[in-house]
Amino acid sequence: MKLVISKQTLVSALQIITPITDKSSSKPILSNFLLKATGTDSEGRVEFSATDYEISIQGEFPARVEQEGTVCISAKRVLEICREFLSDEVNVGADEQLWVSLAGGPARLRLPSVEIGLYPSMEIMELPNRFRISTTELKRSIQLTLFATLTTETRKNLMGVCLQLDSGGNVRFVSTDGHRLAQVSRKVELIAGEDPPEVIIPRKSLLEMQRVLDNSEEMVEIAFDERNLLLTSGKMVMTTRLIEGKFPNVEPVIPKDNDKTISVNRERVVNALKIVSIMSNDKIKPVKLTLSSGKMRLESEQAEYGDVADELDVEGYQGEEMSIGFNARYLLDVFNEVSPSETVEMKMKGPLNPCLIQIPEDSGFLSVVMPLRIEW
Amino acid sequence: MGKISLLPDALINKIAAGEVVERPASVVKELVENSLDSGARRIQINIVNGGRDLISVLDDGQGMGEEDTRLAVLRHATSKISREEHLEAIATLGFRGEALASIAAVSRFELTSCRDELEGGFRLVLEGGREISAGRVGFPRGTRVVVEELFLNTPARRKFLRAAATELQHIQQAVINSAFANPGVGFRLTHNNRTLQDLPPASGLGERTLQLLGPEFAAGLLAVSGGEGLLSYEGLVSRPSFSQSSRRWQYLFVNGRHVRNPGIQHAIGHAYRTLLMKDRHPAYILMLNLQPSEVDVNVHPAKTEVRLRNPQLVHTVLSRDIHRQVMESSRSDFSGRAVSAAEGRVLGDLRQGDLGVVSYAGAQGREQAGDTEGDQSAAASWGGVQDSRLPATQGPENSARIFRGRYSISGDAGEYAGEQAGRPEEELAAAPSGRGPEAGMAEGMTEGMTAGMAAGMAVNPLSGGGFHFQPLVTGAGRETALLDTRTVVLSQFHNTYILAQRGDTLLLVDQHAAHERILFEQYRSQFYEGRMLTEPYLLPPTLELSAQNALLLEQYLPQWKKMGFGIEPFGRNTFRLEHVPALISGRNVEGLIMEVLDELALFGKSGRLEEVFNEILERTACHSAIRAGMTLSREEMEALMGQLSGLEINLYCPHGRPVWVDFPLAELERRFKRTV
Repeated sequence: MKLVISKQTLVSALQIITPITDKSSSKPILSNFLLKATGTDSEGRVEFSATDYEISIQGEFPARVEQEGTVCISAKRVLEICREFLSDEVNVGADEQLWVSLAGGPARLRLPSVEIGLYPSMEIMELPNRFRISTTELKRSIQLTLFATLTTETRKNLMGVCLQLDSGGNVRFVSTDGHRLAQVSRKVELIAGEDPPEVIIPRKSLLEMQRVLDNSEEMVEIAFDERNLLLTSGKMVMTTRLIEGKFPNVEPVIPKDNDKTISVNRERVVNALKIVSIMSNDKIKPVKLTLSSGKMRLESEQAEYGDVADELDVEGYQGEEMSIGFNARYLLDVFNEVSPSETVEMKMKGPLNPCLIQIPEDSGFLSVVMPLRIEW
Repeated sequence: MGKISLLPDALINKIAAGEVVERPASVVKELVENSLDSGARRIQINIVNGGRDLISVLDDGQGMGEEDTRLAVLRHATSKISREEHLEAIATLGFRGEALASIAAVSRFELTSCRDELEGGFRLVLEGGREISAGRVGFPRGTRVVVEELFLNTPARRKFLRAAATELQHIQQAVINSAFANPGVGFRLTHNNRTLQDLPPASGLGERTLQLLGPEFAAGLLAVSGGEGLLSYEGLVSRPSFSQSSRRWQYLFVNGRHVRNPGIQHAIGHAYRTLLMKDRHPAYILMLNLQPSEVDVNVHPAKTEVRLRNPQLVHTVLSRDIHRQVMESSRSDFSGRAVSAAEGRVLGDLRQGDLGVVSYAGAQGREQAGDTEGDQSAAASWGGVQDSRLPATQGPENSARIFRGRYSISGDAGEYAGEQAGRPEEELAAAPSGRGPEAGMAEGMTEGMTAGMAAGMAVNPLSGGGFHFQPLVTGAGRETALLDTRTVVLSQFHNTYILAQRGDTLLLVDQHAAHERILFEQYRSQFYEGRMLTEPYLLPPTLELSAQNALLLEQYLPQWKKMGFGIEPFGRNTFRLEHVPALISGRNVEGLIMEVLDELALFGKSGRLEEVFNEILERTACHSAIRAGMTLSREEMEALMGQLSGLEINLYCPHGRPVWVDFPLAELERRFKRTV
């Protein structure tokens, strides 16, 4: 094998696949990736592929290929060294004994290839339910739901984002950790799908998907069945297994009749929440919101340390004073993720009822946060 | 011909022998127990070749006449019980009447006994259970049993005997167990004519411990005692600084019998919560006395297992009492080198030789405070466990205590309330004899107290001068001798240790560990005494439990609720989790609930929740505490030391690392060869 590839292409391809080549894995072979050169000269292509059994990524990039061939080498090591090369191009070669050399200018890396046959095979499946979505919309949808997923392994079905697609081309992303939820609805271009199943995309796959999307073209295609999901973006394909299980029906817990609505300035609230939550060392940062006409007061609930309070103007609320306790972290998560939106709407009912959070710019988004209960 | 027939006696004896006589050590144990039951003051045990060839046990007990000697080797022949009711209240070690017959069935057996020296002795020789010879011999008062060629007619068992050295180990262990349980009896053990143990009758457990484990080991132990209702205990337990890497040095005796009981062992381990590092274990020799009707020893022929009628209460009392006594010892460690005083106490006990004399002031105080809730619930629980589980419903004036007590399951609401309530009385009781922590020592302090003690008494309110600490963190009942402590901060070493002087002692304080301990105590009191913060679910998870666990959960629903868990029955064995304590937000709540249920099933109570809560508070404390390597101003160091002296436990950080080490002037002078 012999080829020349631009350093930038090589590095960005490796940056996408390296996170899934887990070195600490019990299968050391999974720390490697496959590099396959096909075609000749200007027609040449290099395919990068890697898998950790859960997620597989394959990407094809242009290169000047002098001699075809395939090698299987450590992703992390190649990335770390190639990144430091001073030249714009990298020469890749392999001899019959499968010693691979990568040279960028005078600097050169030589390392042995693993027997290619030992690397798990990846195949791209044909999946029945397919739609197209803009890369920006998908990225935003992931960002707006990922934060509410469960991170401890207690309820597996909550450790990802649920994807719902109907035959009218409406897609919905939903996530919840049991105490709060986030939901994004979008209209997409449906390609195929009759009664598509509800599926749950693992958290880890979504994090990886964000990296792939950072290097994607304008539109991407998603295809899935009950067990796998495929993201295609130009010459890049990412496959992920899905979480088996049923996602809870969140429809009944989304408040419909919360009548105490306020509009607040996002940055102002984030700032106030940060000030108030500094008083607490715990993971949970209790904050008390007190609404009165045109005003919202935020107070820390850690009386032992002293008090801290902040007050800001709000629009919309006219009525009796009402106090409601929240985990400041939950509010901060939503308020941070909806950036750059300027205004946020909070719809409340009472101190023990869930609070609905929405933004005027995006009617497809909503989040629900359960208040904290403070027993005196 | 029918297939079922009654077994001949000889075979029954051989089978029974298999249960009782597992190895030479079990023979020794049985024979020694017989000697003890006969009132022996001295017991001589001779072993040849690991007990394979010869085991001989000679005692000076009351002996038997000819008729009794003959009866003794029959199965179920015993002088110890005669009616069924006696089984309910067994006060002797042996009672089943199987031992001698079983041993005789599998060996060459010689029993010589004399009740009255004028009458002379009687000797009976059996082989494999058959009588070989019998006749009168001259013999002093007492009994001797000689067992030769053990398992001579059960080759299978003989084949399974281990090397002589291994068997000897077990025999020694059996003798040590008996020696601990009977300090007043002299023991002598020889092997192949070499003396291995020679223990003259001791005046108490303290002296026996000194004989068996040596002075260094004994100095690492702390005398504890106490009791409640039908239970009392005394013994020696590790100081937290004297933890062990294994559970080997844990001797538990119930009514004079060496036993294993996971529940009790768990309780003692629990008493050291937050005081020991992971994988460190306390050493202890603990004598537990229960009314015979409260304990069933007839569980296994070897009688190493016991069943308690009321395991929850025993657990509660032991873990609470021992925890407090150990904590007080580590607190007095800080207040002016009382360590040496406490060491003096044990040594004094050893010399004085009767642990029973040292009564624990706290226990007395609690008894006097008979009207506190803790006592009520504990007393009530003897009558019925259910009563003690719901002590919280006893009236509004107790709500504050209940609140503090809300965090541990089962009878503990009473436990903590009792602890809190008991404190003022404790101090009252202690008042005449001195300051709180030392009160218990007062009676133990006799002429045995020497230089070390004197040094300990010098809590030096007069010496020094300089910074006078006011405890910044106080709470009800936290006034201690430490209020008088004067410590002068000298400097900081390596940006990690605070150098301080207290009287004639140089202190090195680990600034991180100290701050960590201070914060931990602050967080803990905030959490346990503050108002409860719970996090409700938007989508409540359901718990599917086994029928047994469902019952268990339901039984303790009010306790769960008090700790901030909203659990609602959801049909059959399913429950719905409505809300959880905010502290454990983001944790595996379902897993935690299962762990607690497992402990409840096994031990009848669980400290798991408290452990988890503490662990989270510990971590928060650790992250917020000042680090090693930080330069501290004099004011900061003084503030830190001041807060430290106001705490109840300040010897160890929550992970069990020491907070400070000290160098008494006397020790430094020795090292500089100023004194010898």
